[in-house]
Amino acid sequence: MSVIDIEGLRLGYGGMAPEQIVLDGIDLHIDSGEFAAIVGPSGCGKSTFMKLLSGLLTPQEGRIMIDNEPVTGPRSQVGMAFQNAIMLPWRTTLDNILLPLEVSPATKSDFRNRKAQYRRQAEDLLTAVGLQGMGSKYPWELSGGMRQRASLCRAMIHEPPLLLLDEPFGALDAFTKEELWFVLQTLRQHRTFTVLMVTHDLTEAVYLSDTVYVMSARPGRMLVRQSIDFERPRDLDIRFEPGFVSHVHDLREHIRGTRAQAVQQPAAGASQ
Amino acid sequence: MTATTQSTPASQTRRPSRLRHWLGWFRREEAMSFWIIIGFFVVWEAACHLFALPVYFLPPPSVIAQAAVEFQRALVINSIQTLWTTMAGFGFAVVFGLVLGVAVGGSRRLYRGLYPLMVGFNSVPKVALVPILVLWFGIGSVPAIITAFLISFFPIVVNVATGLATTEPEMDDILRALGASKLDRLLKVGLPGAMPHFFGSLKVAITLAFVGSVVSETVAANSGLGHMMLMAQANFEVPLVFAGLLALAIEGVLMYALFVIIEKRMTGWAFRAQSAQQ
Ligand SMILES: Nc1ncnc2c1ncn2[C@@H]1O[C@H](COP(=O)(O)OP(=O)(O)OP(=O)(O)O)[C@@H](O)[C@H]1O
Ligand SMILES: [Mg+2]
Repeated sequence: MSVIDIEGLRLGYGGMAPEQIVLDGIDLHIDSGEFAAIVGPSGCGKSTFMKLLSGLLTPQEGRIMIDNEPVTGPRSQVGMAFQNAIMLPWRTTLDNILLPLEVSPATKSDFRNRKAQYRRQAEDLLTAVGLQGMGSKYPWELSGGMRQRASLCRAMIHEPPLLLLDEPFGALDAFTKEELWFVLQTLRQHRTFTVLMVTHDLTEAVYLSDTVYVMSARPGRMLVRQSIDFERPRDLDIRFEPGFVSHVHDLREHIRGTRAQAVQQPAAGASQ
Repeated sequence: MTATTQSTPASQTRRPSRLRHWLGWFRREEAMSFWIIIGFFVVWEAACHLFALPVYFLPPPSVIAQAAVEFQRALVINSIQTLWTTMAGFGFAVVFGLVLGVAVGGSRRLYRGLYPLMVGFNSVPKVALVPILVLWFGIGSVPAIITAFLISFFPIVVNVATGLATTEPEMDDILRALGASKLDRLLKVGLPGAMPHFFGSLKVAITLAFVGSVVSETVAANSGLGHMMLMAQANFEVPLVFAGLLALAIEGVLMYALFVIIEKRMTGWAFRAQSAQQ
């Protein structure tokens, strides 16, 4: 059963003239509980695509269905995390994590009545990502990696069935990244949810995902769908196995190809 | 027995260390402003004697102090008058500035619509408005309060609006994607985030408010420091004019310091967050 159903999606910023089009005919189906990654050259429209899924943007053409319902505006069924884990500096980490519950219309009144219970839930989540007891700290007292963990907690506190991650680990060092891959997998063992993740790190994409999509240079289209079927839980050393390496190699070739094409014919209509 | 013998050396060692502590303070960075102020008055005093400046041209601080003691009653009464008109005007400016700042910062339409008018309004010299205010309200405290208000609300509006506009776009995305209402986004993220800007602007606004009330007092009042200085000047009591200026400066510094403390108290997180990032 698919969670995300997208057909004929087209979007242009400000209009549908050739040079304004960012996404040009995207069809995508993602199953419930699937971990999908999107890779592609910079500026091809990945972040735009994520905004469409969260209901922050509406496409000019095509339709987006989440859970068999058309996306017409923001709904609280998604959790989001970005490359820089922005937190409100005047709130403690715990209060930052609870923010979605506080403002989402679906949970707002419930949150006021059962604060203690939700606080405990947030603390459990902090423990799950390896931040036990850090809830009372302020964001600036955390390291970059810790902030990113907390931002994952914030994205998941309202238990959304779909998690949208836009280069969440892009600013982290290799070791912290590996720890967070592990954290993400642990979280998925606790509760199944669908993940759609944008990343520039092909190893990360192959290691974490069931499916990797390659997007073409702008205007964005899904060029390739690559299934990754290594068994889970996956060991970190899997990265050095030939099957894994060839996946990464293939993806890199696809991206290189579409980038080269974009350079040869710069922005189809821009010169007109 | 043993207890007393032990306590004596302890108190002996404490006394010189406390003295050194006090002496040490005068060498610290915080004491710099103290020394500079002392130096400023010493140079002033010396210059007056060295160049034999007549008292009606530039009185030395010692003569000003004498005048301040002599006219202490008038100084205190007029200082209080100026302080209250300033604070009243400033109080209105804070309320009005906050409301208008939120309106302008929260709505693009209002921002674009109101900005030219506000900038134009702010460009008008407030002294030019005083005669009109006198025409409407007569001579007294009201024109001073209104002038203080008019001159000090603009920086508050601009800072609140700027603070609201600089909300992190990604934070806003997260909240909007959750379906958060505009009011919630304002109350939970926008306003708290704008508080450092707001409290920072109060320091500027309070000093401007003093300028406003005193300007108005020199034109259209029968009390207040501005009025007193004008009278003293007419009577050639030049030391008293300077005593009035000093009283004004002291009031300004004290209020500024008060708002620095309030700013630290209310938005301490901003300072700590900043120093943590460095
Ligand atoms: N608000 C906007 N208005 C107009 N054009 C935009 C806007 N946001 C993005 N674009 C353009 O749309 C294209 C896609 O942007 P997007 O941010 O989705 O790229 P991306 O794939 O996420 O890139 P990156 O990998 O560098 O993050 C870019 O060419 C960008 O210039
Ligand atoms: Mg992006």
